[in-house]
Amino acid sequence: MTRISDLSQDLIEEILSRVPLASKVRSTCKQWNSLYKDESFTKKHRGKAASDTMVIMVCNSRPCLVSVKLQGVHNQKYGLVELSSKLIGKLNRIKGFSLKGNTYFVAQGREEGLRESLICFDFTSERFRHCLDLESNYSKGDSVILSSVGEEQLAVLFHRVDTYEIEIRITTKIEADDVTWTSFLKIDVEPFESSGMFWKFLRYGIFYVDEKNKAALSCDYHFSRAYVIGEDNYFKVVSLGESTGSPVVCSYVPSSMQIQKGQVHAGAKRKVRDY
Amino acid sequence: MSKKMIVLKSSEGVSFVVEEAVARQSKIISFLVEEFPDRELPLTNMTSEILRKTIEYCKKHVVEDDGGGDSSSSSSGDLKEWDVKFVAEIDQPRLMDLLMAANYLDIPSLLDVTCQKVADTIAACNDEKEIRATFNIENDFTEEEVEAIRMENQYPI
Repeated sequence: MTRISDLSQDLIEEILSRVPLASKVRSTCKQWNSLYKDESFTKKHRGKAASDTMVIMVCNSRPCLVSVKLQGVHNQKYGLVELSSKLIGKLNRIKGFSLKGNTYFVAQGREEGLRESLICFDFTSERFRHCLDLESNYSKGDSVILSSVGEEQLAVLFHRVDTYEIEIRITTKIEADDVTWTSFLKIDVEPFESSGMFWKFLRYGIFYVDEKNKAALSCDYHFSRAYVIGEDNYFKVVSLGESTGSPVVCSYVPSSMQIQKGQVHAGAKRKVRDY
Repeated sequence: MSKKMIVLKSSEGVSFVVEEAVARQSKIISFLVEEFPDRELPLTNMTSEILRKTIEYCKKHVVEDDGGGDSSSSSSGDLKEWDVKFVAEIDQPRLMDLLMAANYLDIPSLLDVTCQKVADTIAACNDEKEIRATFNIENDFTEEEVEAIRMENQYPI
């Protein structure tokens, strides 16, 4: 009688690449655990996982990686079917931003007074990685907004209510396990605090960084206006003009990446061959 | 027109007479049939039970492929359902044998469904202890090592 341990390495990989990553799989035996350190296997694993539609869903402070199947296209049935879900952390709320194929989130922890952190979702291991302690507190009214400088650097804007400070930090290096930051701009907004309740709505906005001129533009959707901030405590409110709807601003980053025509990923190819 | 039949022999020496089109789903048999026509093909590493199962699978799949050439999405859906039922009825040790047979005979679709079934069984286990018990795997980790993997896999906040 054949045992799973009698199977060739190829077959073990073929099987485990179809199993969502979990510590129970890795800690079954040394042979299985070693696979997750092997790049060719993790690539295979990622390819298989990508053939499913996955979403990150936060529900009752439980972020889960959920694989979904939308019915209705072929058989007139409608509804969202949750195929499988697994808990990937413990946090209240996430707000995402994608850069260079990675997705970053401002996550609010459940402990330590709802402190926020910047986390990154690692698609290889299907888990969150910690990037930066934000020292901000959502419940006090602090704002954190993610943006980018061009297509290479990540930028974070903080507004701390208790210290009347707006700070923008940008990354100097983004590597697999290491993200380093530098402070780009810091201004004291206490003198301008009288200009209204805009802080409260800053957190829903977006910002744009001009690295060369050491300036940033932050848009406030609620009041249809923008704030220009710069060195030496420069702060200016600019109106975005009369408009009935909220204007939307976002960074325009043309990508030089080529989109290959007719490219099929491993999962799709398999299906074509098999059925 | 009578269909061409070929003979497959299991490790116990039992002969199975199979339509060539059915057997040709195995790339290996396809090759052997061309190299050695009109000869019995011995499959010394497959028991009668596993060979019978493999043939059952191939028969089902060849019938579906005959269906007029334009296999509609509903029939491929039915076939998928049949596959799921087919592997669900096999116990775990025999499933391993069937997976090995699919690999040996080079039947990609059967390899796919058997690997998926094993993967689903692993995913359904509650913890590593259950996986080890289900698949009869020896634990070569210490408690500390397992704990270290668990910590590594946790969310950092």
